[in-house]
Amino acid sequence: MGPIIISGLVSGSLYALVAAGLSLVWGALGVFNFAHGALLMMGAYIAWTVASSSALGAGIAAGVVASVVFMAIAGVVLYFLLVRPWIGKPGAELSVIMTTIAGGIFIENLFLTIYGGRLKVLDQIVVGTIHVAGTAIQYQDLLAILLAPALLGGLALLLTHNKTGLAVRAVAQNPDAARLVGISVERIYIVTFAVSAVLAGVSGVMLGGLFNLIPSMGADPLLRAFIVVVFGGLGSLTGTIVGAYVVGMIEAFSSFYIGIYWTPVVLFVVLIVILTVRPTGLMGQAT
Amino acid sequence: MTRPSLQILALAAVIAAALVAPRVFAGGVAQNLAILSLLYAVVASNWDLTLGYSGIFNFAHVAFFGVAAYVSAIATIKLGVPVWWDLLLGVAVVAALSGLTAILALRQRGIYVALVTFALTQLCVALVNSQKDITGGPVGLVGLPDLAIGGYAFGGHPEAYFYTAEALLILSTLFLRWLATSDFGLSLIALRDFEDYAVSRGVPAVRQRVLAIVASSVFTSLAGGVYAHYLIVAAPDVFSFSLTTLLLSMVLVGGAASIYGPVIAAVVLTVGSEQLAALGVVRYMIIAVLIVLTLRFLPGGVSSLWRSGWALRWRGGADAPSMTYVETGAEAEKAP
Amino acid sequence: MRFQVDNLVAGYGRIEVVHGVSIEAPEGGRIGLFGPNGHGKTTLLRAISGLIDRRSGAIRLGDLDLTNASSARMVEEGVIHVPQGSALFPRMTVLEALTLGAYAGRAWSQRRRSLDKVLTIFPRLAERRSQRCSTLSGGERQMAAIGAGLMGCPRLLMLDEPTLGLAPHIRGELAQAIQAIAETGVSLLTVDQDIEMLFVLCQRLYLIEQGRVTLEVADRSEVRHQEVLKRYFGSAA
Repeated sequence: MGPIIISGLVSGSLYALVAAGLSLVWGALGVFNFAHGALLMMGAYIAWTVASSSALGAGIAAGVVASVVFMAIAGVVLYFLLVRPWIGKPGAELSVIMTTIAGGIFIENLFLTIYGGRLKVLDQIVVGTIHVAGTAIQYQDLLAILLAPALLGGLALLLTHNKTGLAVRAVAQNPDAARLVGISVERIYIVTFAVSAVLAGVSGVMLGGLFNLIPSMGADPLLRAFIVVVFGGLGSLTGTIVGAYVVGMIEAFSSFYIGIYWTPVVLFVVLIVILTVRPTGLMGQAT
Repeated sequence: MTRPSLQILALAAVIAAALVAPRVFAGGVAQNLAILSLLYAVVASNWDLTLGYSGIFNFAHVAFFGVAAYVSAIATIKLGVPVWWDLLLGVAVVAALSGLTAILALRQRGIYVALVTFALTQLCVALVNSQKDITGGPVGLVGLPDLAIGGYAFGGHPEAYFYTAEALLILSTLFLRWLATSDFGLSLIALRDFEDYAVSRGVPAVRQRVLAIVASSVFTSLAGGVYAHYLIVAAPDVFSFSLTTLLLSMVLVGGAASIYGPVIAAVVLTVGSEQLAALGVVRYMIIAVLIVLTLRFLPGGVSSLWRSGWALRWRGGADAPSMTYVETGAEAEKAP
Repeated sequence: MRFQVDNLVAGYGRIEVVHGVSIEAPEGGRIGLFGPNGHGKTTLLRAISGLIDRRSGAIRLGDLDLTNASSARMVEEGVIHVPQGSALFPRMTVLEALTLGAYAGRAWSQRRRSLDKVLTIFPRLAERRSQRCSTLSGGERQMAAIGAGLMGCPRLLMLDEPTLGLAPHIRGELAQAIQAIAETGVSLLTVDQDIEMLFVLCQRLYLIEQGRVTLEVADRSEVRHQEVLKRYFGSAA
């Protein structure tokens, strides 16, 4: 039971980090970023490039910092190239789904070309294992479990007590009213995308430390995040976080009892059922 | 010349070309490409029915193709169903699947339609991967028997597959054209662009859309079955993101709501993608850039270039804008 | 500061709705816009505040040329638009919504003082400060919207149908509050269907029909409102 719960918590935490970015973008811009998985991968690879002794060898701390900076910029670039030209036009949601799918494929194959397809190893941020109640937990796992709530808690605080954070929520809830109080909606879009990309990158770094790096590493997390975000309700950060842990737990238990191949089936069936019963997800708002 | 005779002439020309083409594309690679592009053309143009004409973000379309391939494989390999009958079985199973898709999709609004249909496709992938005994799991099912007429097995004579694919494309295109130009097709466009008005004029929205989704699955599933027989294998990559993207790009680049556009784009893109094969994965990057550029600068696809005459009334494209809804007297609050 | 709109043209897509409207509000002045629905009054306000593009014409506030000002700049300069039937920010508390009203730089540093003022003018909002905007009644939401507008330290406050759809006694309350606001020296531009209220509140009135000014009452003391009603409604009134 112990290892299953730990596994569920770790997954839940990582999914929460990945999904939070998606949820933020959906809330503020009303679009679904299918390149989010590729961003996760990017964050991991950038960290590796700076940190690894096979590359720049500057150590994992430098790797994380470089990754965060790079991802913020990448997020903004992605916004300008793949989102901005279509925002406000009719059919924007569908268009952005397609441009971001294309973007994700571009990025994945770009990194495949640059780095090759062989697995790479990313140093863990903290190394070692501890034993709690007879179960072995890697420190990195523990970090994941603690980091996610910390980061997301920080995010929630920003959204309620910081002027820009309030502006992000304002844009999500009523863009016209936001303009009328003097918020530059464009600037908020940029900030949101940057934060979203950084969150993706951080989860990539965490994931990279726990598993290995491969250019396609973002695909499964994206699918999971997709489930989480839609399940918990697009646009609701709380719903996303709750959904992430629920999905993480379902996955952990299901993998143990019914096997890994059945787990996605279970997850998608649950998702489809939820959508049928509550079309906007557990806590979502229709836009 | 009158219009009907022009159309018959065009059809005759197409059939003539179809008879000749397998002689022209006789070599292994060229022939293979031609057959694949014909099958993809069927799938893409049928996707246009829901994505373009009806404005339904149906991301389960590729599942119609893939599931049919698997049905054919399972039916012929595991259940001993005779060839050709497995294709019909595929159509039936996929019709049921498309009905389910329609029910799920039409309960949703906006982006959720895309998301729930996407989820449905992923569910199919997950099921295929999990049922190793039945579907061969991630490896797939190998060993489909050839299509054959009488004793004449297609396997030894790939032109037979060529002719089959051509016939399928011609029939599918005729079917789609008939639908698109019929009252049914017009009602779909009306629902897409002026939903409230169309409904108030008595167009049964749900029924038309369900029919559109199911109709789009008929030839798609046939193509899936033929595909499986041609390749002799049904594998999960038939549901892959890469194939979905390729097919989607055919619809977009060709021009949504145009039928012929996706057909031509299918040929061009399949051939083009193969020519670029030497570049390795870079070709996917090129396709990706192509998609974005098309969406940005030519959202109506290539076919919009020669349809500008209708541009005002019939703004093709999945993102065809709804007309500004301004009634005399109503505050222009509803404008985009 | 004097506020001037010169020959403003605006619309949506291919459709032009406002066909060259000119209005003017003197410093501390109060002007009213009225006219049939769908004839461009809201579009005019949206063009002024920058929600939609201005196709031609000019906007001036004192010496400032705001013709090409973005919506953010308009708020920064104190031209504040309180839109019709505002849903505000449904999932935020009244306090958060009001705080956001002071987003612009000039107003942000004053926000505590502004908040006190707003809660004095609208005591009901003080009671509801921790409630979500979506739980407010129609009248309270209007108060919150106007309150948020005030938080921006406006030089010109533009109100779009502030009393629309409200019960008479709330209307009265609001009208009084608007009057109190006007007395603090803020210029006021009010769009409303309640001509009588406009007559009490405003010095200058404009009738807008078909996207044009068809009647200008430069000084309401010179005209009796029944005459305007007659012009507007015909003989019945």
